[in-house]
Parts: sequence; structure tokens; C-alpha cells
Amino acid sequence: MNDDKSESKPIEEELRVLRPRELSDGFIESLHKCLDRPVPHDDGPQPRRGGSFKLFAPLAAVAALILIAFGLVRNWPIREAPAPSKNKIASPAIESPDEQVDELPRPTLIAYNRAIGNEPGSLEELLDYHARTLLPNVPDPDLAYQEWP
Amino acid sequence: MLRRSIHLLFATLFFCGSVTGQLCGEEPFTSRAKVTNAALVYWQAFALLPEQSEEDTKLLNDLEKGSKQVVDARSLLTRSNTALSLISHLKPDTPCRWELIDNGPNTLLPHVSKARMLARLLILQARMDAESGKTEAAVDHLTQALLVARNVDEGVLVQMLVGDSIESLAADAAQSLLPRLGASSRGRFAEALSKLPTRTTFARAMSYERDVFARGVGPIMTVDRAALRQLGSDEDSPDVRAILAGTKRERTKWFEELLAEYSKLIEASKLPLPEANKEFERLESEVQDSPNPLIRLLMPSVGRANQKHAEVDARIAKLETTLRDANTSAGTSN
Repeated sequence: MNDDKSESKPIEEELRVLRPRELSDGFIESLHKCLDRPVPHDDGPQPRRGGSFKLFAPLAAVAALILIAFGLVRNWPIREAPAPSKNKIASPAIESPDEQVDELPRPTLIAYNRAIGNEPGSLEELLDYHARTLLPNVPDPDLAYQEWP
Repeated sequence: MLRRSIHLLFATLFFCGSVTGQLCGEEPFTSRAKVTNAALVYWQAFALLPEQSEEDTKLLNDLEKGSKQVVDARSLLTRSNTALSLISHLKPDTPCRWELIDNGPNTLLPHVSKARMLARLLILQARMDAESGKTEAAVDHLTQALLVARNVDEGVLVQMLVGDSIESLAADAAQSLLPRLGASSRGRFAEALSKLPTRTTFARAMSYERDVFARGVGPIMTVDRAALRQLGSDEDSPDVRAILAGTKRERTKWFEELLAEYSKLIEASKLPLPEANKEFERLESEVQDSPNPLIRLLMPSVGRANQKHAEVDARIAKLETTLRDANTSAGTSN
């Protein structure tokens, strides 16, 4: 125990040296003057801040109304007519991995149109092929899915 | 003072925005009632579809041929349960935007085959439901299958044909289900059908095809031959070789003739069915004998498709009328 105390003394002294000195009253007063505030006194009443609150309340109300209106407009249940996207890609079609390994065409508009023009059953055969090979599915996706009540 | 007020307003907006964002805009999951794009739910269901074996494909194709055999489907339907449950809450009025990226004739349509599979599973499930006496569930599954058919069809010919194929199967299943439905179930089915999005007209599909090819093929007809190879991978076909060998002036002329041919198809599709069939037959023979290689290569053979579309239109209209009449007579007798 004694050894511990003797070891801790130098540390305490080092920490005391590092402790910040207390600020003088003159420095605090000059700081408040710079900040344009009255110096708080322990015995006197604190100055009221009602001016800022009176300004804040109507602004908060206006802001909340704007956000509510924005939210309503954004979530308004409008049924949009389904239309194909007009996003245009300038570059040629990217070669997909399945094109490299399989003979059957990719699921493009032109490939399906040609299948429509071929003998009956061609389109169905192509669709069956794409159903099996695109986004290959797992053998048994039975996740025991149950809807939460 | 004014600057301070503006700062305060922005600070307040930021605070309120972050609070409302936390409350309603940035939730990690979407409640069933708040789905804003059905396509996103369909894609999740596609990812959860079971692997389709040759036997499964045969089973679904037999369904298309009118087979009444549904006992062997139990295994496939059990494996499809998760996907089917996921889409069971989609509403007919929920918008469905597939957001396909327009790349002219090379536009990818990876969703069509998956949507067809999902819808055929729904119809198979409806048949199983009917066999087990679960008529309400059968009505729900048929309605969902019809909703897939309407949602997959954004106006492109192949989408419309896949939609027709699904609707035809659903109409078959509904026909065998009708005698087992009570008045209230018929009324519910009729109401559900009336809320589905409307079917695309054949003329609209043709018009859209023309626009796609005008946007996609037109610009590449006047550029170098390397770009022309986008017309198809089968460069050995005589039509592609003829197009590649043509001059820019010839190609421009061929393209203008192609658009004119599409316009004839659009006009033909507006005629009454018997006349339309005759006109399509004439146009198809014109295409086969056309000196224009671009027409021979790109013009779809649509006479059969128009006939099938008209038949499905008639079948769905008849189903709606039957349900409505049954509902009315039940109401009168009550």
C-alpha cells in the first residue's frame, strides 16, 4: 500500500500542473462584453429569451405546413398510365453471358418478334427457355414464409 | 434581423424534414397498403420462383393445352408458395412501371417470361383451390393472374401476346369454376374484374411497335455498316446480307417503306375482325414477296396475333357479362 501511495504522488503532481487555471473575473466580464450579453449574476434573475421563441414558433409552423403539403403532393394516389420508359441508350446492347454459352437468342424485342413470325409454338419455346435460364432460381425456395399477423 | 430569420427558417425546415423523413419517408420496409410500383414486388417474386425442371415446364404447358390434371402440381405449387404469397396483396390500381430501358429492337424484356411463369402458377393454384373447394381463394388467384396479364402488357406486341395467353388460361379456369361459385363470390369476382387495368388494343400495340422501330432502326440506316450489325446476330441470313450490301440511299428508302408497312398494319387492326383478317393475310403475303430486305427481316407476322387478341377480348367480355348477369339475377331472386 505504501509503495502505491509513494508511486501515485508524482503522478498527482504532474496532473495538477496540467489542470487549467481558473479564469479571472476580469477576463469573464470582457468576454461577455464581446458577446454583447449582460453578465449573469448568481443572485439576480436570468434574462428572458422570449424574443427568439416568438420568432421561432411561426417559422416552425410555416415550415411544417410546407413539408406536410410536399408530403401530400408526393404521396397523392394517382394511377399513372403504364408506359414504356423513354430512356435512351446510345451504346449498342451489352453482350450478356448467356449469349456466349447458348444458341437461343436473348430476351430482346427483335428476338421475340421473330419468334412470333416463326411456326406456332416458337414464341412459347423461347419464353420457356428464358423462364428457366434468366435469373436462375433455387431448387426449393420454400422459406416457410408466413405473413405476420 | 432578416438574415437571422432566414437562417432560423432553414434550420427549422431541416429539423422538420429530418423528423418527417424518419417518421414516414425513410422507412426500410413498405407496408402492403403503400406499394407504389407493383413491378418491384413482381421482381421480388420472380427471384423467389422455384427452379423450373423439364417436368414442371411440361406440367405448365399441359395446363395450357387444357389438361384437367392438377394432382401432380402439388410439389411445384408448394415450392412456389413464397412467391405467390408475396404478390397476393397487390391491388389492381397500384401502378406498375417496369422501366424498360429503350434500346430500339434490342430492348431487353427479361420480365416477360418470368411474369408468364408466375401467372401460370397462379392459375394452377386456382385450379387446385377449386378442386379442394376453396372457391374464394380460387377467385383471388385468378384475379391476381389476370392482374399480372394486364400489368405485363405495356403496349409491346410480345407483351400483349403473353398477356393474351395468360388471360385465355384464366378464362378457361374461370369457366370451370363458375358453377361452384355462390352469388356473393360471383359478385366479388365481377367487382375484381371491373377494377383491373384495361386491355391494350391491337392498334395501339402496332403503333407502339412502329415507334420503337422508327426510333431504333431509323438512325442506324444512314450510318456505317458496323452499326447495321445491331439489326441481328444472324449475319448469314440473306436479308441481313442484303441490307449490309445496300447503299445509304437504298437503306433510307427501305426504312421509309418499312414505316409505311407498319401504318398499313395499324389501319388493318382497326377494321372489323373478318375484314382485318383478310387484310392481314394480304399484307403478310406482300411481306414475304417484298423486294425490301428490311421489311422481310423486321415486319412481324401479326395476323394470328390479331385473331387471338380478338378471341381473348371476346372471352373476357363474356366472362364479365356472365358474372354480372348471375349477380343481377341473384339480386332479383333475393
